[in-house]
Amino acid sequence: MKEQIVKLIVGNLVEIIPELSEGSVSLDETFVDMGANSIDRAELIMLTLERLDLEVSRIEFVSAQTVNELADLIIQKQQR
Amino acid sequence: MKEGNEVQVTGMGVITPVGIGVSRYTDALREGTTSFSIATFEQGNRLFRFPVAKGMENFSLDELNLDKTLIDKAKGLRHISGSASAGVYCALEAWADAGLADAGISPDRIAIVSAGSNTQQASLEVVRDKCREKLQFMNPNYGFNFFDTDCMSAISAILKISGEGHAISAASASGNMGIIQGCRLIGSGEYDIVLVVAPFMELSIYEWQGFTALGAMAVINEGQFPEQICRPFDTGHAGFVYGQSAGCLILESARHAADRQRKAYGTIAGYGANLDASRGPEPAAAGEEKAMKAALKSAGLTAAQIDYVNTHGTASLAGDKAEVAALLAVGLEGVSANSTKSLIGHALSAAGLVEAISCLIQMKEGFLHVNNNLTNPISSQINWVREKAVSADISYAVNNSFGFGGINTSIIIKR
Repeated sequence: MKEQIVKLIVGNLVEIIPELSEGSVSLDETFVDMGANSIDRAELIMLTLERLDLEVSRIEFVSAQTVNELADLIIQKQQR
Repeated sequence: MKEGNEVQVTGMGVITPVGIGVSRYTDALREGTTSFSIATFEQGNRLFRFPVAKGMENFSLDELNLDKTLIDKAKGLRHISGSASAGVYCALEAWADAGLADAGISPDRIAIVSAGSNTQQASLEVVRDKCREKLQFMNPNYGFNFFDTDCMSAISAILKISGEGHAISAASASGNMGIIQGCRLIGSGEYDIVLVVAPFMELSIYEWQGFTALGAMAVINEGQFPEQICRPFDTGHAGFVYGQSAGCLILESARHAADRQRKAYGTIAGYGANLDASRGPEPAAAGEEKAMKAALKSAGLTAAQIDYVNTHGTASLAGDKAEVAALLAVGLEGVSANSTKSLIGHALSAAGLVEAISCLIQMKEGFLHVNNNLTNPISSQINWVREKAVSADISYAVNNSFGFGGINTSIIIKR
C-alpha cells in the first residue's frame, strides 16, 4: 500500500514542480531541498488527500518533510 | 509636467480576436477583419446564446523575440488564469518591442499598472465549481491568485521589476485610467518607465447573463447573422458585443527614451477624467464633454487640432447618442472617427488600452480602419470612416473610454 501512496505523492510533486522528474525525486530528501516552497508543499498535501479522498486537516501533516514521511503519516491517518 | 517628463509610448503588445501581436493586429485593422460568432452555454438544463467577437485561443510565447529563460519562466507559471496569461504575453511582447530586454535599467525605476478588476471570473468559476462539493480540498494557490494583482505580480517576477505595482479599475474605462495612472507616475518623476497592462476581462456565465439582463449586451434576434449584430453608431445598433482582448503599453519619460535612443510610437499628450456623480450604467454627454475638454486643455490643444477620434462607441443606444452629443459639444463636428469595437467587440476593462494601441497603430501606418456595419449613421455631423479604410495623416487623436458608474475618461495621443 505504501508503494502506491509514494507513487501518488511523487506524481503530484512532479506535477507541482515540473523541473523534477519521477526518477529524480528522492524519497528522503526534504521537499524544500527539492525546490518546493511552502505553498507547493501545501498544494502537494491537498492534492494527495483529494486524490485519496481522505479528509484530514492539513495541519496534521506539518511534520512531514519528505515523501517517505508524508506517506507514513497518510497511512497512519487512513488506518485511524 | 516637467520638461523631459512627457510620456511616450515606446513598446506595445496586444491580443485581439482578429490578431495576436501588434504586426498581425495591424494587418487585421487595415483589412477590417472580424470574427463575430455565437457563444453557447448550458446552465440549469437551458441553453444560453450570446453574440461574441470570437477570441483566439492559442498565443505562443515562443514567437516573441526574447531570451529563452524569460519565455520558460512565463511558460512555467502554474494556476494562472487565461486573463493573466494574456496580460503576461502582451507585457513580454511590449518589453521586447521597447528594447528593454537588455537595456540594463534599474528595476526600481520601473512600475507596473494593471488595468481592470474582476478580470478572472471565468477561471475562478472553474475552481469554484470544482470545489463546490469538496471545499476542504481547495487548492491553496487560489488564496492569492484570485486577486487582480496576480497578472501584475507574475510580470514583475518574470521581468524582475521592483518599482511599485497595482491594479487600477474604472469599469470599462480601466484601460484609459491605467494609462492616466502611468502618466501620473512618470509625470511626477517617480518612475522612468511604467508598464501598463490590461489583461483579458474573462466573463463567467453570470456576467454574460448580467449584461444581457441589464440590456447592455446585444441579443441574437431570430434570423440575424452574428456578424451583423455589432453596429456602433448605426441606427440598427442594439447593445454591445463582447470580445476578449488584452494589451500592454510601455510608457516612458521622453528624457529616458531619448537617453537610450528609442523612437516612440507617440506621446500621451493629455488626459481628462471625471465622474457624473451617478451610480448606474447610464451615460452622460455632459461628463464625456468635460473629459474631452479637460484632455484638450491639458494637452494645450483646441478641438480644431484633433484629426481623429477613437470613440468609446459600444453600439449601446444611449451610449452612442451621448458620445455624438459630447463630440459636437466639444466642437468636433466633422472630425474623422471610428469605433474599434465594431471590429473586435467590447473588451470591457481592457478596451481603452487596446483602443489606444489601435490609435497608435493607425497614426504610425497612416490609415483609419473601417466602421464595421455602419450603414445608416445616427449622425451625419461626424466624418465616420465607412465601409473602406482610408489613408489619413493623423497628428493628434482622442481616445475615449467610458465606464458604468458615471466614469468618463479621454486621452490625447500625439504622433
